[in-house]
Amino acid sequence: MPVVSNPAVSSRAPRFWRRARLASVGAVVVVSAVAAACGPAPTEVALQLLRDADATFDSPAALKIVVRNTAADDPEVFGPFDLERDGRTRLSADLPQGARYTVDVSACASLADCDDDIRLARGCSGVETVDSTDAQSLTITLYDEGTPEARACPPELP
Amino acid sequence: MFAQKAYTTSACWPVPSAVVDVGKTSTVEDAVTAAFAPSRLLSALLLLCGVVCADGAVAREAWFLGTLSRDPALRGAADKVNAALLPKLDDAGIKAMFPASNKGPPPSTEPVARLLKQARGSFFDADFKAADQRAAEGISRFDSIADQVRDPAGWALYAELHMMRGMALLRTGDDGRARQVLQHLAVVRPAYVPDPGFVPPKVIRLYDELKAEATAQTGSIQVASTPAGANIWLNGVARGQTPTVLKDIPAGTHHVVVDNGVRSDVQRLEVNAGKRKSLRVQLEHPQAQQGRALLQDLVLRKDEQQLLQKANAIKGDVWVAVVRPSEAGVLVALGRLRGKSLVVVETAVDATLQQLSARVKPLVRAAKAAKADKTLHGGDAAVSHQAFLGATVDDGDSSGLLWLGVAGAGVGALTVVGAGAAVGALLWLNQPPNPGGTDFLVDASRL
Repeated sequence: MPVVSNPAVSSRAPRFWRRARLASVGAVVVVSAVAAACGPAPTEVALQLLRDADATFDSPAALKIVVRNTAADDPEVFGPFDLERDGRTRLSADLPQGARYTVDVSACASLADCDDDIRLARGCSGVETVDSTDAQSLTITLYDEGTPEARACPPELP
Repeated sequence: MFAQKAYTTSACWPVPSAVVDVGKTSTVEDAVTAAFAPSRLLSALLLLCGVVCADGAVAREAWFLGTLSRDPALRGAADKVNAALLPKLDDAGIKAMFPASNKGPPPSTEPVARLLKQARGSFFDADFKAADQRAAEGISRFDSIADQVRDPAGWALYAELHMMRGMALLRTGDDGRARQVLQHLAVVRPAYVPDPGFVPPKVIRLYDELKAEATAQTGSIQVASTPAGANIWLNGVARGQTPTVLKDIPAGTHHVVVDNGVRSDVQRLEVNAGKRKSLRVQLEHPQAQQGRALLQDLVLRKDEQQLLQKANAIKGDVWVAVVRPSEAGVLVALGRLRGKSLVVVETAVDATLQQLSARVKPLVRAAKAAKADKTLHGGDAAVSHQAFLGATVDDGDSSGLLWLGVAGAGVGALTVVGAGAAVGALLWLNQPPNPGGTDFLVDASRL
């Protein structure tokens, strides 16, 4: 596409740039101030995923994580998301203080889907409780798809 | 093309200093004028930051358009720009930015057919060695093009060449090699039925035995591709689309072709009895996955330093701009660009930007309708409910093109323009912090 100057805009250029220079300083201040005014930090749970010692599944390309608040109708589904870059991911779940929840993790061969035939491994938590007064951590072991442990997921709700 | 600069400021990011053509549409002016109206001071300040801080100086003729306003009129103006420019993108040959096909025209199997004919001629002249040589040559010729042959008739030639060669070897007394050849035929073409008018009953019985052995020893192949939905061809036979598991595959060597219509990937796989082979193929631009991963990180709200590192790791082939609003509105933008690389923000790659846009827009509309501050994850990560594509094109004459997208229930979005060839992805996060929620820090490094 050829370059076509826009005279209507060019004619405004001097005033435009004067404002721009003045505004830049203000913008930095505004951005910094707003950035500092973030809300309280969410509760954080370190979720460590481990592979069962007897597992034979290939290194997964993607994960799907289902977080179910026992008091909510629908679970929150994260993924499938890519694992190839660094294997660490932050997921933000709608779990308030005191909520009871379960986590169901599927390891997948592809980003495209993470159910049935294409799932490599699965593992899940028991019923956990959000408590921000402690450092929260959770470990889930993944088992080969089709094993009794994998078939036990998702966990039953109380 | 603009020079890449180091990122030296925390609040501002370089924008291209280049002459930009946004066409003759007055709606662009409307958007700019509205953005700088006094009543929208905050918007103006943030927008100007993008302009003024470029390369630490005023970027002449560079525009950093967009809005951080909740004003529907402003958003409407930008929508008009978008509508006006989208067809221009198509006219400008956006298709050229997509990964070129790696497929040539279908190869001719004529030479193979000729060698089969010659082998048969030799066989009927009782010159079995010559028949074996011709058939072997035909098989070799076919093997060199097998991955591109979709025509069932082509693969029928392959089967007949094997049968011809098996028969010739049996007549020369080389039973061991004859069995090998017929066994391979049974593995790759288990549906093949010898012609009793041509193949002696003794050879048919041997072949049936070998086929029974082959079909008793099977494994499976799990096939996945990025993007998903590619066609799978196993030994020339269509076997559905990715992702899938091909079951009951006779143990032995197989040709697997995964083809999404633009690109194809070819593998020769050794399937072992009782085992599952895993095959994953990449059918899109190499940068697409990185770009998508970056966008996913954006959606998952990694901190800015991490994002900056990741953007840099892509080595300049991606431009990502992010608007991350809070109560008052915060602009966060980062990214780089270079070349005609396409950063795809969809799991499935479409052939044109218009199609890609068509996939994004319903998500945007749905988000607008729901007025939900909800971020989609995983496969949808790259199209967090207000994700936009921007693009510039280069016709070799330092031209540029803007695609501006603004929508959503909260704060507006913007995109950046620049001369030179580039494609940018604009991701707009309209998700507030998660004070009442729980963040899971997932460590999958030990899987």
